[in-house]
Amino acid sequence: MTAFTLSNGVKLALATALLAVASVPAAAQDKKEEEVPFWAVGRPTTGPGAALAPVAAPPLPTAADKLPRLNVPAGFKVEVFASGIPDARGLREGDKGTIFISTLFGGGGKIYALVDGKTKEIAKDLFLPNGVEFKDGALYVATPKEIIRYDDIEANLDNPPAPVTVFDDLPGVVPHGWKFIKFGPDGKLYVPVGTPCNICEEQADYAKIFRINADGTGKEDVALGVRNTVGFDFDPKTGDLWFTDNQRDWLSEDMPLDELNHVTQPGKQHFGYPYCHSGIMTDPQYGWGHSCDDYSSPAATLGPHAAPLGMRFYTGSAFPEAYQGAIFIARHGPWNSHTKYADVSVAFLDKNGSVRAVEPFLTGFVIDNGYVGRPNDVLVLKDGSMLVSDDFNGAIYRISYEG
Amino acid sequence: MRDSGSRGRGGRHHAARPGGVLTRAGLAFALALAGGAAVPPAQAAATAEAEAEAVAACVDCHGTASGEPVTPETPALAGLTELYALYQLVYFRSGQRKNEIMSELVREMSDDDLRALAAWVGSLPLPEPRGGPVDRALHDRGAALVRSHGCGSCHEPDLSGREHLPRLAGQQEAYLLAALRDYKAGRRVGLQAAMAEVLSPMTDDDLVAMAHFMANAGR
Repeated sequence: MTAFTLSNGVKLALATALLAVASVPAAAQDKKEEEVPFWAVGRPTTGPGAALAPVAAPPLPTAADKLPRLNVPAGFKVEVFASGIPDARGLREGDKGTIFISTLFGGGGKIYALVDGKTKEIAKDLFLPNGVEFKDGALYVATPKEIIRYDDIEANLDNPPAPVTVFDDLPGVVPHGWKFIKFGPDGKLYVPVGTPCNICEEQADYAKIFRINADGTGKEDVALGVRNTVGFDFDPKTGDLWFTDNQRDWLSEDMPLDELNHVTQPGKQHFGYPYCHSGIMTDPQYGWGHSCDDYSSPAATLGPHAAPLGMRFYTGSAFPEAYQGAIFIARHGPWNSHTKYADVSVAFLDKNGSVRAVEPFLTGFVIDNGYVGRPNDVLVLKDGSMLVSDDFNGAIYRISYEG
Repeated sequence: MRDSGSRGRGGRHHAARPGGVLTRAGLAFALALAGGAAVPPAQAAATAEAEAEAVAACVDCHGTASGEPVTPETPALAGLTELYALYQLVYFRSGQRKNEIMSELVREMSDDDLRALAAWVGSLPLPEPRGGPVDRALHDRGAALVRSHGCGSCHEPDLSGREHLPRLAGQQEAYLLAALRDYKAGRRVGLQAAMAEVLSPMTDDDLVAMAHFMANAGR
């Protein structure tokens, strides 16, 4: 059903989820009711917009010598850190320096560990295991259905232990169901549940970020009105949660603008979905009777259909001072826009913690309006250098500062 | 492209033939040329021969725009996209898609071998319209099913395919039916769950009608 063999339990969960999805009718069909894939709901039926669809990555990772030539600001250096890792997405660093790498649709449900330049497969056939996190020696993996934990993983990379289930009260729905997870400074694990559609209203247990204790107990909401976040981090100075959010598809070529959001009152803020987009525009279907004034506005907007994914505060000291405390954001790039763009951008904060500017940092992923690479996650290593994953090429780049 | 003649059309045994035409080195070399790589002139003749042999192995079973595949269940390659072909070759090699002949053929091939083969498939001219009788009632029923189930959302409204999604229009009817049945039964899986999702509520009669329409789309 997906690109890999699934266990029976997962198949059952997935089948249930799929049946729910398959019943979504296209809005405003004047003929006989037509089913369309969830991503196509709301797509224009005529004109250039009707030809837009998700962009498929190649099924093979790109050889190291064929990877795109990327650009960084003067003084920085970018090099290939690893290649040959199909669908490389989420990045985490273990206490002993192991780099853990997650995958999604094209990765066979695998999780990799990268040690001393060698890639080891430590799990496979997991159900869209995009979310990874590392804490207290354990690797956490989040699927759309559950969160599991591999204890003492760095001492057992060649023979990983059977995972322990941490939390399994998740919908298991595929659309926007794959996860990004991260422990906060409060020791709690932050978990998003994306909306199971392009745009819809009625799902009480979707479109939010919640947090749980490390043992899976104590679930509580952190942010509401969150359409689909696949990247967040905590300000090292304030402990505040910041997250990227992918806004609805199809509204127009240049709207809505994807968001960078700042949580200042955990559990009390609503970030607008599905009523208000980008802090400035009510939804043409669900926005009537609502005002953007009633919702938390984004700290910054990141471009139309930009698909901002992984983001991290720069916590190292190796980059110049201007970058310390700034936020690096992987913009995976739009599919439902004719203009393709993708980069790692950097959001600079002022003394008050407001976003002063957002600028491109790592570029070169688009040639002739087509993708030659797509950044997915960023990770600040203990030595102050930064890794960037590229799922399109199955590669990881390392950025360092040379002065 | 071209057929070797001496092997005729009974190419199904190629994979098992000891010392068969598809030596890995020869294929990679040939396909590098087919893919546009620079080759010293002295090697050109040998390369052209290897290329002919490699491509002939595909053509033997799959036919070309002007020749039909060797069995009704064998898909035509002409009109398929390069990316779809590459996905399928990768799936055959990994075992995700199961076919004894194909898996054996690609088992020892490198990534670059598969890329070159896919590029060749993507370069083939569009298939010629097929003959054969059209059951108008079955055709119309299939057309309605294709429309109501949104097949064109991914495969394009005219079913010509795009990117990693195959052309359906004009494909071999028996192959289409077998593929639909495989997707429905979970014997074949794609990059995402879309096919199983669409086909799970459908009956076998529905699949028969859709395959007939797709094979004869535009007629």
